[in-house]
Amino acid sequence: MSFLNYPRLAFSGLFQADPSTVNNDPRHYSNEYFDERFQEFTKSGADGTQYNGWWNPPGTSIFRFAQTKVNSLWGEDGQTLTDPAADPAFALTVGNTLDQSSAKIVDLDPDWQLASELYGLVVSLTAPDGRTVFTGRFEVAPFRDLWFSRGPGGGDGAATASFQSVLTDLQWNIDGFGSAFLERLKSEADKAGALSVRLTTFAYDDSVGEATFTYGSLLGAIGPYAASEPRSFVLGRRFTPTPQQGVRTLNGDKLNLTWFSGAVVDVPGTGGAALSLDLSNTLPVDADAEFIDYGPLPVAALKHDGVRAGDVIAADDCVVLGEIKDYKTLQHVQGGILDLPLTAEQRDAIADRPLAILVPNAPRTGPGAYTVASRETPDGLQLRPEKFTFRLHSDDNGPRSGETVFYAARYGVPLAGQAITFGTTAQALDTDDAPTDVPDDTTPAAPIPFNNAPLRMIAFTPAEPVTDADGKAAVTLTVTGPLGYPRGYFDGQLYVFDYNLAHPARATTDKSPFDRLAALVFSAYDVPAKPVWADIQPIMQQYSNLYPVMSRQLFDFANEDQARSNAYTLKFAFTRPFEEAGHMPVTRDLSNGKRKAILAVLDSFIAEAGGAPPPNAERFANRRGRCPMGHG
Amino acid sequence: MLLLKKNRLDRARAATSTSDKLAEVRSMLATAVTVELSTLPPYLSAALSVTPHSQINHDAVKLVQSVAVEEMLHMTLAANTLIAVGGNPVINDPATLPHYPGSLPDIAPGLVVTTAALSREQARTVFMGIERPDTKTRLPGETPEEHARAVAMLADPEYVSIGDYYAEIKRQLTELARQDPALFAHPRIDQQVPAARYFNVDFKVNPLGYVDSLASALDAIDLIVEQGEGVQIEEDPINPYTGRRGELSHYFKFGEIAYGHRLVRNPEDPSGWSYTGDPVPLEGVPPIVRNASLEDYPEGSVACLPAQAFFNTYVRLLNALHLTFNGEPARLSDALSLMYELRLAAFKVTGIAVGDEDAGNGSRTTVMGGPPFQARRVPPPT
Repeated sequence: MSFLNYPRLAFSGLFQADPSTVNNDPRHYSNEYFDERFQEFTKSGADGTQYNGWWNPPGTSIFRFAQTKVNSLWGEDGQTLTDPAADPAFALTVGNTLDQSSAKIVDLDPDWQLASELYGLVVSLTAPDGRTVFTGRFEVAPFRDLWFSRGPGGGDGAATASFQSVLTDLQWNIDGFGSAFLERLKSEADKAGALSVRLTTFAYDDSVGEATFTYGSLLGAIGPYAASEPRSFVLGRRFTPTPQQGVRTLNGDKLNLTWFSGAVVDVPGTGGAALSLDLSNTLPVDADAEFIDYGPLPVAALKHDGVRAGDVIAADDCVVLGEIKDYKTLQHVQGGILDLPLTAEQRDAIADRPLAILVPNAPRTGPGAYTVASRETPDGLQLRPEKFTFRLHSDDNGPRSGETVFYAARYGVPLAGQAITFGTTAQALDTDDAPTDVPDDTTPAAPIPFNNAPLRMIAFTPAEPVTDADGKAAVTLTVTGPLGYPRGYFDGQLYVFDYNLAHPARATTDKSPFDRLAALVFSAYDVPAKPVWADIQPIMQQYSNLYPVMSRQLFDFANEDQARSNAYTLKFAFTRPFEEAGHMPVTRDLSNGKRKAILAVLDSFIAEAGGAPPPNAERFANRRGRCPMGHG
Repeated sequence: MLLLKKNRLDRARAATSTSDKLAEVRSMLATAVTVELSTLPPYLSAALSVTPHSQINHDAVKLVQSVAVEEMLHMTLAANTLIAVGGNPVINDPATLPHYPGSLPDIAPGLVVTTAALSREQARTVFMGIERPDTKTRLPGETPEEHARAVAMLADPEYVSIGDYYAEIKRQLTELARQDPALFAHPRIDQQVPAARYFNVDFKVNPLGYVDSLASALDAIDLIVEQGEGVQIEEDPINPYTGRRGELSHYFKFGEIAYGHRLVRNPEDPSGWSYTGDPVPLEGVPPIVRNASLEDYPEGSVACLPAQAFFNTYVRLLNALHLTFNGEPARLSDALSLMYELRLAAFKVTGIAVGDEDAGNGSRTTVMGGPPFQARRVPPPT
């Protein structure tokens, strides 16, 4: 059960992601080699490019929705409800928190910007008269299926990714609202205490000065959740990408699809089923962020598993179940989800046959009828972890281990008794995030950090887990010893691990290159017995360098006077729970030991100031108040 | 100065039964909360119109910010007092939010309150207009015309100064406490904000700033009036100081911006003071959209989404404040976090050039976005 299931609410609009990009280049973490230029926007001209602070140095890390509305409700009989008169839930605006700070989008590490997480996100539904009928908290989860070739151009504008998670801490205000849909959604939610939610984000505008700068397109869906299911992905039918050269469609376009998932879902009220495919993240878009119309694309079950994506097949090599078509409706009404009704026979036929998305060739019959654009994983196998990002300590100041659960399935059915192996990633420089300026004399001078070394810093327990009767296997990652400063000028090390099914015939080498376990291991830190400003100043300096929004628009906490003036506020922010939107540092890359030292110094500042908040006039500034009583 | 309708006082005075009087006093305190809150958009617009950390304008911005913070304290104290006598303020009702340009329903229409960039003109006409103490004395820098107008406003039988308004609240509370000794028996401290923990101020009765007795209620109100209007010290005819921690009251802080110099004693001025001390620079602040609303930023314009984000943040702030004073005082932390977010959201708007206007000397000057504190444009009051 997930957002693919009934009762489902689909919505769309804009999202805003306002990350600070000074920290996009790990070399900017070096205090010694820091240049104020790294807080400026990229400068591009005829004579070259100075990357400086990249495309958004004054970013606030805020993540939120804008202009987002409900598009459709999946109704009792498997039909999509789109008539606003059918249910007042149609008029709802989808928003975020009503009375707290905005959520934050956070990378695991500058050397792994491929698993951004959302912290403190609330999803709310509000009626036109201002009545909020629902709020839920989005459990922290990183995006998946990140892909950089979804649209024209390249870079962040052509990037796309999906955040899937559960909404918990649900609050309802639907008495007398008159929505049969919401009543039904609530009764499903009450069973599990949670709902499934998926947010797909694409067509992002990273050009400062544009009207939609820091905004992009959002497709969302909310549905029921079942505790037996994964929380952050659909364990269903997993589709693999089109080969890089793409497949030519009848109208001359080149089609490339990326990883996506679907599931067979029950359709209540009919006794039947549907194949629901989440195409929200995979259908390419044009310059206006609209799904490109490729003409009808058949969805079929392949009769032979040996067929690969890119192959040409005959009409009788497959059983067509339906088509991808009506792209506008798919995008603007359905939230990118295609629901194909299945007869009982079709349901049986696909139970152990790979699914595929086909492109019709000119003759739609005979031996060359279709080219396979995307097909299900070989043998329908998938192996996916629930949690795949970790922040681990290498001292006694914080947790040294983290746990995750792997799910193995074949054609969407849990697979018991499967052994899982893990592979380390070779030590490598993070050159992807360390570009060279043109001319290169302004290139950051700090050495590019390398990752995944020293080796053997993390142990897996069990070393080769085996899935249980439910197809699940828990594994614990544990840091084996103290970590120094392999990256030199900044804390910790990034470790990336591959994972596969052990049996060679069932190896799931078909995986997104970003589907990995990624762990930030903090350097071991001895908290001084009585920390003083000099102990923490370099840590504060690094943050001040990397987040100019603080020093330029709020206060510069790397400056002792300003840290003293704002000690109360800093202490409050540094003691917020990790999951809360207001937790500082936003980047969540501060080890517990270093936090202890910082808090001890802030406490001493507060005590030295008499324990009271500073004079009102000192906020946002630091100048000594003028004494007006006759001293001019 | 802010003048409120006198009939509010008359109704309180006319009420004979304790319950009617209590209802009137609660209503007056609720209005006081709204009045304090309504000063924030003009003051915040001004403070946020200046480039953050502008060195030259540092002192001017600090003066405005200190007043804004004190208005938040006044709102908190009025709310605490209201809670102590059994009421709770409404902070986030769209129907009662102030509009700009304009004034509150109970406030005299003579003063038009606007949101605009910080300028000497804005400080002089709007800010000093809001904060002028209700004294008939001619204040430093006042022209004879301005003085005459102030005296005339004070003489208007339909309106009373905010100082008189608060004085009446004190009188009514004192009378109520006499009629009902249990008036403060259930002050609902668990719903109040410990003001001393959030604001640097000295309370004379309840050190935390709670209101749990007549004496602490009167002290809270005294503090509001002192910081806003000033207090009598020695023989001073104009009372520029608050009497607590030696700060100037609001009117004179704004005067220092308006006249560009610190207020110092000057026996040659009829008031005994003049703005002839150290300079208070204010320069290079571009105009922002005046009385900005979401309607000023059409779809597709560069400032549209930032303006919507700002307004959304402001609404969240009002919601957080509403919860704070309606049973969840710990939510003040959310409100403070939102103040920071509001500031950042404002700079995204004020950093965008949206047009230009006549600079008055034949040239044009760029106009920057103004953070919108309202959804719709409001026609100017007639």
